[in-house]
Amino acid sequence: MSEIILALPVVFPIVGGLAMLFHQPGEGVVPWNRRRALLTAGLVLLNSFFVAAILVGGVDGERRLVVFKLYSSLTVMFKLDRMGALFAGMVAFLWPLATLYAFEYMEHEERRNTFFAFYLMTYGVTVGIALAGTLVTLYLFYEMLTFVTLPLVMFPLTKEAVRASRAYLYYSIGGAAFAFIGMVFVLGFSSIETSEFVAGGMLDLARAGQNRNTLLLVYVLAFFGFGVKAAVFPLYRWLPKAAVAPTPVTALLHAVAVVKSGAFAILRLTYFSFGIGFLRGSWAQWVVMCATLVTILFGSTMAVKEVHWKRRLAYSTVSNLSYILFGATLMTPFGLAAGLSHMVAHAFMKISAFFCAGAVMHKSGKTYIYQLDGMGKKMPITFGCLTAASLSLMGIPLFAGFISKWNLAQAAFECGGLMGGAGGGDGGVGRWLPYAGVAVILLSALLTGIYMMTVLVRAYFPKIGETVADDKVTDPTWKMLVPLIVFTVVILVIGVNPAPLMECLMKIGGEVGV
Amino acid sequence: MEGNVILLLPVVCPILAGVLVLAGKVFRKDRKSLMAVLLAVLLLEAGLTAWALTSGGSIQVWRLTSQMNISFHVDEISRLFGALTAAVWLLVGIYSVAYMSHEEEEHRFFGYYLIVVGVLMGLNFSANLITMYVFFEMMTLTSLPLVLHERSRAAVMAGLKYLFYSVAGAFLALFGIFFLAGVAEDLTFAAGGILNDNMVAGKEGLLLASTFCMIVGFGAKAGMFPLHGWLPTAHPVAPACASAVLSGLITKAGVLAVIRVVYFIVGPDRLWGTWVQNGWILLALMTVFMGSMLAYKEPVLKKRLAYSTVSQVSYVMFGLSLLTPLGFVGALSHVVFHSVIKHTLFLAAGVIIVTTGWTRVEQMRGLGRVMPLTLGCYTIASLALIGIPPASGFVSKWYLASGALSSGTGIWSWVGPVVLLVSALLTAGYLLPLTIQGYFPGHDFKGEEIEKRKLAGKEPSLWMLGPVGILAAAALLFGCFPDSIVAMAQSIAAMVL
Amino acid sequence: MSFVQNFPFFSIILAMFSGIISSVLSGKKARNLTLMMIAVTTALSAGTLMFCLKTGESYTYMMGHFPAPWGNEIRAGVLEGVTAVLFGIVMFLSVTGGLDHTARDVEESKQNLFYIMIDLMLSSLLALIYTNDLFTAYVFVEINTIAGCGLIMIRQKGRNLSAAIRYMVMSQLGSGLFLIGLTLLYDVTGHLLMSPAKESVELLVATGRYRIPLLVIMAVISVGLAIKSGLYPFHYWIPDTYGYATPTGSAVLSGLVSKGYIFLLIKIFYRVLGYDNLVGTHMVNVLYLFGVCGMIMGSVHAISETDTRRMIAYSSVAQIGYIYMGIGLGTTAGMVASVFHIFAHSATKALLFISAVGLYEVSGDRKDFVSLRGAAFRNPLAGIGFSIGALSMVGFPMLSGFISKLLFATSALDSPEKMMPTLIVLAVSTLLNAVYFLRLVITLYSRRRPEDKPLPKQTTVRSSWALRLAIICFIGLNLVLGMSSQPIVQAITDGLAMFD
Repeated sequence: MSEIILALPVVFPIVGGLAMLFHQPGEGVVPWNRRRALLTAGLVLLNSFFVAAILVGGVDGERRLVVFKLYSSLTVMFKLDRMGALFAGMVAFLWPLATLYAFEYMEHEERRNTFFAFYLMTYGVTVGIALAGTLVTLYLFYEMLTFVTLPLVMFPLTKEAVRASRAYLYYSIGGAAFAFIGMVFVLGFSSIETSEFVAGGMLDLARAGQNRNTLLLVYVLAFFGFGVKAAVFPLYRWLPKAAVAPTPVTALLHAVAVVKSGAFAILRLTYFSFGIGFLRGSWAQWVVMCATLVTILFGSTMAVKEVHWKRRLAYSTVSNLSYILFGATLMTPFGLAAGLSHMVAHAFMKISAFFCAGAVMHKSGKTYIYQLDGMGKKMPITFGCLTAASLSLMGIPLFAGFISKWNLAQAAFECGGLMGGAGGGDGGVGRWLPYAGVAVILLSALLTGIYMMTVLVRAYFPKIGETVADDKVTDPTWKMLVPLIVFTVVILVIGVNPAPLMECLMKIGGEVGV
Repeated sequence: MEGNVILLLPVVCPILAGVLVLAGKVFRKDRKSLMAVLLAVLLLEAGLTAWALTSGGSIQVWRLTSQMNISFHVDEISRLFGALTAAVWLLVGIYSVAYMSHEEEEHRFFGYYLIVVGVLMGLNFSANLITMYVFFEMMTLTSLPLVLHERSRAAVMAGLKYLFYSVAGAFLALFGIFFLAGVAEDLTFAAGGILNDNMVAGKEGLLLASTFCMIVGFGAKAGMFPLHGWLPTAHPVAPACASAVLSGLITKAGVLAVIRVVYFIVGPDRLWGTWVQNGWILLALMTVFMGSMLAYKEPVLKKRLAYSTVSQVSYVMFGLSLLTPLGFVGALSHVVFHSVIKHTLFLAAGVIIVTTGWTRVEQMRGLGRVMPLTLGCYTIASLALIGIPPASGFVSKWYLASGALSSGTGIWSWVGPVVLLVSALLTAGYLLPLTIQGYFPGHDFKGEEIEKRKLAGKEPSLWMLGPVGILAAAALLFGCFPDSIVAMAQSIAAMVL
Repeated sequence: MSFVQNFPFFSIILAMFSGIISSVLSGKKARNLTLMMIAVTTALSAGTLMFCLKTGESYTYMMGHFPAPWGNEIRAGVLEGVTAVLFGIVMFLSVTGGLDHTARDVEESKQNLFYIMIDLMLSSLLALIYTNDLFTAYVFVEINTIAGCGLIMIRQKGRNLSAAIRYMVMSQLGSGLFLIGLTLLYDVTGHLLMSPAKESVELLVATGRYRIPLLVIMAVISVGLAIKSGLYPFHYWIPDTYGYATPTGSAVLSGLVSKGYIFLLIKIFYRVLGYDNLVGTHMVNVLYLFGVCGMIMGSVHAISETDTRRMIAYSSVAQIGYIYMGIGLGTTAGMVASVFHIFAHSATKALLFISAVGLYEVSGDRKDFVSLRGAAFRNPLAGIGFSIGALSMVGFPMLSGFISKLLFATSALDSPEKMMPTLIVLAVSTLLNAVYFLRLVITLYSRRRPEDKPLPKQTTVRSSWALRLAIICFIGLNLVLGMSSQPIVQAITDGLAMFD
C-alpha cells in the first residue's frame, strides 16, 4: 500500500529549507525579518501537523511507501510502525517549541536565514529516520543528518566551532562507515526480499546460525558505529566539543534529534534487524552492555568535574544516552520499553536543562558554573524549570526520570532473573551484569544529583560574600519561557501519570519477542 | 482517591502553608504576621494529627502505575511517630520564634520548616514502600534549606554533604526497592512481612543483599556507619532549632524506614541468623562506640551533640537488629526518649550560643551563673541520656540490654551490652563536664567575661525557656511513667514478631 | 554482418584521423573538431552497446582480410560498449570543462597539438577497450603513453617537464615489463591474438608444462600494467603528474588513462590467462594485498598534503587500490564491483578536478588550503560540484561512491577469508577519505578570517559557461550512477559473462 503522505513530513521541510537557503532576493546576506520568521514558524508547525495527521491515521505497521529501489534488494522505503510513530511524534512535538525558543535566542545573530534553513532541514531528516522502513533508508538519513547538522555546529564560525564541527564530522563518518558494514551483512542475511524492519528481527536464522560469530562481531561493530551518534564510550568526544554551538542546536540536536537518532538506530539494529532471539545470551550482548555501563559511569563522572555549564550537560547527555542503550542491550521486550521510556523522558529533561542554560547565557552571558551565584532569585521561572529538570534527571519520584529509571531497573532485574534461571548464557557474566547495571545506574543517579544540585544550590543559596552583580538580569521573554514551562509540565505529567505512555511502550515491547 | 480524607490533612496543610510563606512577599517584611501564621499552623497541625491518628483508616491518594501508588494509613507505628513529630515540632516552633530573631531571612526558614513537618507526616503515614520512598526523598530535599540556612561557606558545604549522603543512601535503598518490586506485586506494609517463599525462590542471596542495601541506605539518614559522615558536619552548622529537629526527628525518619523495611516488608524471620543481621548488629555497635568516642573528644558543643546523635540513634538500630520483642521495645522507646532528650540538649545549646556566643565547651565554665535554669534542664536531659534511673533513658537502655542478653544472637548477646555500658560511661564523660563546670567552675574561676558582658542571670525568654523546660520534664517523666510508651511498643512488637 | 558492427572500428579510426587532420588546423578549429569527434564516437559506442544488448552476446570483427589466428581482431560486447560510452562522456565533459583554461595556458601555436593529443588518447583508449590482439594492445599502450606525456608537457613550465619525464620513465618501465610478458607469452603459446592464445594457455595449464614461465608471465604483465595504472607501491609518479597538468589533462589522466590500463589487465586476465588460473596461483592475493595497502596509504599521504591538487591525486592512488582490491577478491562479484568503481571513479575524479579548477579561479589560482578558504561562496557551483564529488568519495548514499562501496562490501561477503579485512579496510578508508576531503569542503565553506592574506586580484570572477556546463553534467552523471545503478550493474555483469 503506497501512502504518499508518509513522505510528506520528511520531504516538505527539506525542500522548504533548501528553498530558504537558495532564495536570495539580492546579492549578499539575506535579511531576516518578521516575515521570514513567520514563514519558518509556519513551515515547522505545518510539518508537525503532517506528522500528527499520519499518526492519527493508524500505526499498525502496515503502512509503507516505497520510494525507490536502488539495486536488487536495496529498497528505500518509509514504514510506519509504533516505535517510529513514537519517535516521530516526540520530535514533532519538540520542534515547534524549540524553533520558538531559537527565535529569541538568535535574535542578535547574523545569517539567521542559513541557520533556520538548516534547522528546518534537520527536522525533515530526523522524521525520515523515524519513518525509515529499511536499514538502507535509515543509513541514508543517518548520513544526511550528519551533513545537515554540520553547518549548525559550525555556525559561530569561530576557530573552536570549526574544530568542533570537524571532530563531529570525522566521528560521524567513521561511525557510519562501521554501521555500513552492519547494514551490508543484514542485507546479505535477511530473509525478506525488501529487508525491511520486522519486529523481532529479519535475519534468515538458518544461514545466520552458520556464521554466528561473524555476525555477532558485525553486530558489535555496527553497534559502535551507530553508537558514535549516541556518544558511546570511547566515541563520545565530539559531543562535549559540540557544546560550543548555539544553545538551540546543542539542545535540540545534541540532546534530542541527533543523539536520539543514534539510539533509535541501535534499537532498530538490535530489535528489528538482528533480533533478540539471535543476540540474547551471546558474548556480543555482554560486550555492548559493558560498553553502555562504562559510558554511564564515565559520562556522569566527567560531568561532575566539568565547570563549563553546557559541557557539563553534554557529558550528562553522554551518560543518559547509555541508559537508553543499557535498556536496549538487555534484549528483552521490557528492556526495549524501558529504554524507550528513558528516551522520551530524557528528551524533555535534557532539552529543558539546556534551554535553561541557554536562557541564562542569553540574558547574562554567563557560561561557567561558578558564575551562577544567586541567579535563582533573578530568573525565578527559568530556575524553577531547571529545578524540575534536575530533580527529574536525578530520578526523584513524581518526575519523569524516576519512572524511566524504575523501568530500567525492573527490566534489568527481569533480565538478570532470566539469565540466572536459564544458566547464564555464554558464561557466568550474564548472571550478574544486569544487576551491576542497576548499581551503575544508581551510582550515576547519585553523581547526577551532585552535578545538577550543586548548580541549583549555588543559584538559590549563594554563599555570603558572593553574589551576582548584574541587576538587570531577568527571566527571558515568553518565546523562551513558554517552551520551558511546557517541558516542565510534560516532565511532571509523565512523572505523575505514566500509565498511558507505558501502555504504548509495552505494546512496542510486546511486538519484538519474548 | 478513596478512603479517609482526614489523613491527608496533616500532610497537605503544612506543606501548603509553607509554600504560602515562601511565596508571600508580605512575610518578608512583617515578622509578626509570620510568627502568627507559624504558630497557628503548628497548633493546627497538632490538632489535625490528633484527629487523623484517632480516626485511623487509610486512603489511596494517587495511582502512579499498576504497581506504584501513593497511599496513607494509620497503624500503631504511625501513631507513635506521628504524635511525637507533631508535639515536638510545635514546641521547637515556639522556641524558634525567639531564636530566629537572631538570624536573617526567617521567612525562608519557617516556610521550609512548615513544609518539612508535612512531609514527615507523609512519611509516618506511608502505607507502602513507594510512598515511603517518595516522602523520604522529599524530606531530604525540603530539609536541605534548613541546613543551608546561614549561607556561610561552611553551611553550604555542609548542606551539600547532607544532600549527597542522603541521596546516596536513598539510592542504595532504591536498589533493594527495585528488587522487591520485581518479586512482589503489592508493596503495602504488612506486619511481619509481605514475602512468601514462592516469590523469593532462587533469589535468596539477592534478597539478603537487597535488604542489607536498604538497611545501610536508610541507615544513612539515621547516621549509621558507614554513611554517617554528613551528620557531624550538617547538624552543628544549622541553626539550633534546625539541628534539634534534624537530630531529634529527621534521623528517626531513617529509623522508621528501616523498621518498615525489616518488619513490614521483608519480615524478621527471613533475616534471623543471616549475615544481614550480623552485619547490621556489627555496624550498629560500631557506630554506638565510635559516636561516643568522637563525642568525648570533640570540643565544639553542637558537634559533640551531633556525634552523640550518631551514637544514640544506633542504639535504636541495635535494638531493631536484635529481632526480638525486648530489643524492639527498647528501640522504639529509645526513639521517643532520645528524640525528646536530644531536642532538649540542642535547644539548650542554642540558647547558650545565642545568649553568650560560646560554642566550645571549655568556654562554658561558670555557665551556672549565667543561666542556671537552662543548665538545669540540660542536666536533667543528660542524666536521662546516660541512663540514670528514674530518667527515661534508663528504661530504654534496660530493655535494650535485656533484649541483647536474651536475643540468642551468639556473641552479640554479651558484646552488645558491654558496648552499651562503655558508651554510657562515655556519654557521661561527654555530657556531664558542661554541667559540672557550669555549676562548679572551680576556685580559680574568676568569671571576668561574665561580669564584663553582664551575662549573669541572663536566662532566655520564656519563648525559648518554655519548650526547653517542657522537653526536659518530659525526659524525666517518661522515665517515671513509661507504661504508655512501653505498652504501645510492646503491642507493635507483638504484631510484627 | 550489420552496419552497426563496424562502429568500433569506425570510432577508433575516426579518432586517429581527427588527430592527423588537426595537425594542420588552427587551435580553435582543432578544438571544435575534437569535440565533435568525441561526440560522434560516443554515439557510435552507444550504438554498439545497443546492438550487443539486443543480441546478447559479443562478436568479433576481423580487421582486414586475414582471418584468425594470423590477422587482427576487434571484439565488441556489452562490457566494452558500456565502458566506451562512459569513457567518451567523461572525455567530452573533461575537454569541455577545461576549454578556456586550455585556451589560456597553452601557447597559441601549440593549441592544436593539445587537441591532437586528446584525439590520440581517445583512439588509444578505444583501441585498448576493443582490441582482441596483444600486440595491438601494446602498440596502443605506447601511443597512450606518448599522448599522456604530451598532455602533461604541453604547459611548458619547469614542474611540468620534470613531471612528464617522471611519467615517461615510469610508464616505459611498465610498458617494458608488459612487452617482456608479451614476448614470453608469444614464445610459449605461439599466438598474439587473444582467443587462440587462451586456448594454448589452457592446454599448457592442463598438461602442466611451462608452469614457471606462465607464472612469470602473469606476474610481469600484472606488474607492468599495475605500474602504469598507479597501483601502490608503484604510484609515486601520480601526484606530480596529475597535480601539474592542465585541468583537462588532470581530469583525463586520472579519470581515464589509468582505467584504460586496468581494463586491459582485466581483459588479459579473462581472455588470455584465464581467470581461474589466476585465482589458483594466488596472484590475485598479491593484487589484493597491494590494493588494500594502496587504499590506506593513498589516503594517509593525502591527509598530509597541503596542495589540494596533489591531495586529489593521492586520492586517486587510494581509489585505484579499491579497484585492485576488488579484482584481488577473486570472485565475479568482486570484478563487477571493480568495473563499476572504474566508472564511478572516472566520473567522480574528473568532477573533482574540474570543480577544483573553478575554485582555484576565484582564489587567485592558488591551490593551498588557506587561499581556498571560503572559495565555495565565491564560486557556488564549483563548490557544490566539489562537495558532491567529495561526498561520493566518502560514500554518501545516493551517489556513485555509495554503490561502489556497497558492491565491494557485498562481494566481500562471498569470500570468507578476505571478508573481514576487506570490510574493516573499507570502513577505515571511508573515514580517512572523510578526513581529507571533508576537511577541504569545510574550508571551502568557512568564512575568510581577518588574519588571512588578501587574495590577489581575481583572474576570473565568473567561470566560463563551459566549465559550469561540465560541472553540472558531471554531477548529473554521478547521480545517475548512484541512483539508477541497477541497469549499469546488470550490463557489467552480463558483459563480464560474455567477456571471455
